[in-house]
Amino acid sequence: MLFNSYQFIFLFLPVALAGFYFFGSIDQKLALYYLVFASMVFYGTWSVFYLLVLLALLLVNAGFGFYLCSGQRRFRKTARNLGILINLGILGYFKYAYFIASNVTDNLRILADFRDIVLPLGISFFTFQKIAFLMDAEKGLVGEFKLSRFFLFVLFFPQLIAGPIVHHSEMFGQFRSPRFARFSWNALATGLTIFLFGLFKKTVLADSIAPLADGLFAASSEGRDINLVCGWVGALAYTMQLYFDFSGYSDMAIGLGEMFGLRLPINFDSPYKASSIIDFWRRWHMTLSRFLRDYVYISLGGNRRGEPRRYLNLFLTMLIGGVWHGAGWTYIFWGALHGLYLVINHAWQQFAAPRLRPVLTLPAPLTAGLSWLLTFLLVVLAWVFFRAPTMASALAVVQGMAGLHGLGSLAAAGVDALSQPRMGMRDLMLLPVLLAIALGMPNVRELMGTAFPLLRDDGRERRPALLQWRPDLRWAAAMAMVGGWAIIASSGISSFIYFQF
Amino acid sequence: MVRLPGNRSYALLLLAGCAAVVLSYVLACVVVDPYGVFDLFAFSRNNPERSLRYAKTAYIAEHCSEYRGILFGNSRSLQFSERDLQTYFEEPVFNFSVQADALPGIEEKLDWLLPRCPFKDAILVVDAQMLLSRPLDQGLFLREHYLVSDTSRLEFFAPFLMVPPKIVIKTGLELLQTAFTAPPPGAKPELVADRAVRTGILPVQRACYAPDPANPRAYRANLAAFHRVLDRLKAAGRSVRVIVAPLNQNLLARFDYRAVADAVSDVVASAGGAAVFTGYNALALDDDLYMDVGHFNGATAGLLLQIASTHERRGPLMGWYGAKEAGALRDLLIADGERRAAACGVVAPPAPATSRPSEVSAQFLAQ
Repeated sequence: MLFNSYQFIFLFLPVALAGFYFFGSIDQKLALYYLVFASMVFYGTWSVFYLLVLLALLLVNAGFGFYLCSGQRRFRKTARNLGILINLGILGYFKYAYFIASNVTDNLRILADFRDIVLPLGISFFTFQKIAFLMDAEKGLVGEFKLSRFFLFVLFFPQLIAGPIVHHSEMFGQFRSPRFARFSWNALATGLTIFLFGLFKKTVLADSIAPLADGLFAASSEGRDINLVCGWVGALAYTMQLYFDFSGYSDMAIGLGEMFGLRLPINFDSPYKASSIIDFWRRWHMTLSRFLRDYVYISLGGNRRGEPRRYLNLFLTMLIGGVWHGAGWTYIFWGALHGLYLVINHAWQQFAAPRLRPVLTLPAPLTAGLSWLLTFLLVVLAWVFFRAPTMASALAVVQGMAGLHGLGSLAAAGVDALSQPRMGMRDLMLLPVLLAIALGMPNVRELMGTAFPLLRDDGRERRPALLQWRPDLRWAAAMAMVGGWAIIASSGISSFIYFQF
Repeated sequence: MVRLPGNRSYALLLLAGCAAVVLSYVLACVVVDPYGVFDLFAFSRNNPERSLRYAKTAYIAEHCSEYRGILFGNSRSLQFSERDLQTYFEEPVFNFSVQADALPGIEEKLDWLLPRCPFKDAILVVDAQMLLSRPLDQGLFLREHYLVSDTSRLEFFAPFLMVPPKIVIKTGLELLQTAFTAPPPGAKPELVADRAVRTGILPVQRACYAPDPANPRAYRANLAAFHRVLDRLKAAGRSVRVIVAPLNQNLLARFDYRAVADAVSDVVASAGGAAVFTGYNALALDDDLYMDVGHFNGATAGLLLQIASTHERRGPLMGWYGAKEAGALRDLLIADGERRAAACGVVAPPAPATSRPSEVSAQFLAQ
C-alpha cells in the first residue's frame, strides 16, 4: 500500500488512527499492540509471504536482542555477529544473489533460479535498523528489552518501507512515554500539515517531472545518441525527481509518525543548497548517513588510525552505501564516486584550503557560489550513474552532457530525443520551477519551525523562515489547496523510487 | 489575519478544506467531462466511464511509431496486457481493443491508421458474438474519436456538451437499480458482476443451450467487413494474425452452434489460419477463467496469447488451425455443439452434410 494511494489515505489511515487512539484511551499497551497489528496489515497488503519472512526475521532478532539485553556476559560478541550475519545473509540472498550469479556464471538455468527472487519491500531499511540495534545491544546501550516495543520499533508502518532509518534510542523512549497513544490536536495538526507537504512533493512535483527523466534514460538505454541539451535536461530532471520523490516520502512518513504522536528523525535538509559534498551528506538521506557514520565508518576505524586509513575508510563507507542501494555496477560506481568526492573534499579542507586561502582572496559570495555550483554539478553527475539501468547507458548520458553528440535544442529535448512526444515546453518549464523550489524555498523543517522540534539538535543554525507555519486561517486555506491538489494528483498512482532499495 | 482558537480548529478546517477541494474537482469532472473527451481533468483519465475509444486513439496518434504491432478487438481482448503481448510476440504491441468494437469499427480504425502508422503486424481478435451479432448502436460512449470517424471537432464534441446532466442522472439511476435488484434466478453470483446482466438488461445468462434466432444478415455484413479488413492489411503489406477468442458456456449457449461453426471456419479459411479457442472446450466450461459471463480474465488472456504466439494446438478447439483444416474444424464445432444441445435435451435439426467453409467465405477465397 502506497502512502499516495486512495486506499491508504481514505481507508487505512483513518481506521489506523481511530483505532490507535481508541485503544490508547483504554490502555497504552493495547494501542501499542494495535499499532503493531496495523503495521502488519500495511505490509501484508503487499505480500503475506514476505510479511511472514519479516516476522520470522524479527523473531530471530528478538531472540538475539533478548539475549544481549539480559545481562549475559558470555558469547555476547558471538551472538551479535551471528545476528548480523543472519540479517546480512537474508539481505544478500534477496538483494544480491542474482547480481552475484550473473557476474560469475552464464548458465541460464542457474540465473533463472535467481532472477525470479522478489526483493521484500524495505528489507534494506529494516536490516540496517536491526543491525544497529544488535550492535548497541551488545555494547549495553539498549537497556531493558521488550518484545512488543521491539516489534513496533521495526514494524511501525510510516518508516517501515523506506525510512527514515530510526534508531532505537529515538523510539523506545517515546513508546514508554506517558503521552504515548494520547490524542493531541497539536500532533494531528502538525502531522497532517507535514504529510500533505510530502504528498504534494511526491504527486505534484516529482511525478510531473518524472517523464522528462524517464525519457532520457530510456533513450540512452536504447543506444540513441544523447545531445548536450537533452543530457542536461534529463539529468537535472532526475535530480529534481529523486529529491522531491524521496524527501516527499520522508515528509509523509514524518507527518504520519507525528499524527500517531511519534516523532521520527528528519531525513532531508535542503540538500541541493549544500556548499560541499561533506555538507551534502549532512543534508541528504540524513538517517542513512548517520547509520553509515556510526556503524560502518566508525567500525572500520574511523579517523583513529591515521590519515591514509581515514580516507580509505571514508571511501569504503560510501562504497558500502552504494552497494546498499542496489545490486548493480551503477550503484557501486555511484558509491565509489561519492567516496572519491568525500576523500577529495576532506583532503582539500585539510591540505589545500589552508594554503590557498592567504594567496587566493576571492569575495565570499563568489567563493560560496562557486562551491555550491561545483557541489551541485558533481551531485548531478553522480545521479546519472544512480539512475541509469546500465553503465553503458550512464556513460552515454555523460557523453551527451559533455557535448560529444552535439548541442541539440530545447525543442529536441522536448519532442524527439527524449522519446516523449507529449513533452512540450510547458513540461520543460517545470524544471526551472522545481529548481527554484529546491534552491530558494525553505524546507518543511524550516517552515514548521518551533512547532516541530527535532529529536536531536544537530547544531545547525536555525534560519528564521519567511513563511513560518502557524495554525491560522491563512495556513489552513493554503494547506487545503496544497493537500487537495496533491490528493487529486494521487489518482495516477506511482510508486516511490526508494521502494526499490 | 483571522486567528483560529487552536490546533483543533486548524486541523478540522484543513480536513474540511481538502475535502471541499477534492469534491469540487470530482464534481466538475463528472458534470463537465464525464467521458474524458476534453481531457481537462486528471480524474477523468482514471474514471471508468471514460471513453476508451477517445483515449486510445488520442494516445496512438502520438505514439504509433513506438509499436511494431497493433491488436484490434472488443472488451474481451482488453484483457491482453501489453506486457504479455511483448513477452509472447517479442515486439511492442499496442492493444487498440475498445468496448463493443465490431468489425466495421476495426475497419474504420484501420483506414485511419494504415497511412499514418508504420506498424508491421496486426492481431485481430474476433469471437462468435462479434461475428454473429449486429454491432451495437453507436451511443456517445461508443463514438469513435473524430480523427477515426473523420468528423469535425465541433460535430464530435458538441453532443458531449449537451449530455452530462443526463449521464449523471442515468448513471445514478442505474446504480440505484443495480443495488436493489437481485440477480436473475439460477444465475451464478460470481458470473453476474456485469451490471447490465444483473439488472436484466442483457439476458445473456443461459443455464443451458437455448439459442436466440440467428441473424444471417448481420453475419454476412460482419464477414464482409472481416474480409475487407484482411484485404486492406494485405494490400498495405502488413502481416495478420487472427485469434478467435473463447466465450463462456453460458454466453455460447445463446448462439446456434451451426452458425458458430460456420463463422469460425469461415474466419480460419479467410485468414489462412487462426488460433481458435471457441467452442465448448475446457476454456468455455471453466467459469473460474472468467470475470463475468462475457469476459475472460487476465490470466486466461495470458494463456491465450502464449498459445496463439506459437502456432501450436494444445487440444481440440484450443490453438492453431490452418486454412486447410477449416472444414474439419467446422465439423468438430458442430459435433461439439450437438453434444451440448443433446445434453440439454434440445433436439437439433440435421446439419448439412458438408465439410467445407460456408458460402460467403467460398466467394472470398475464389476472388
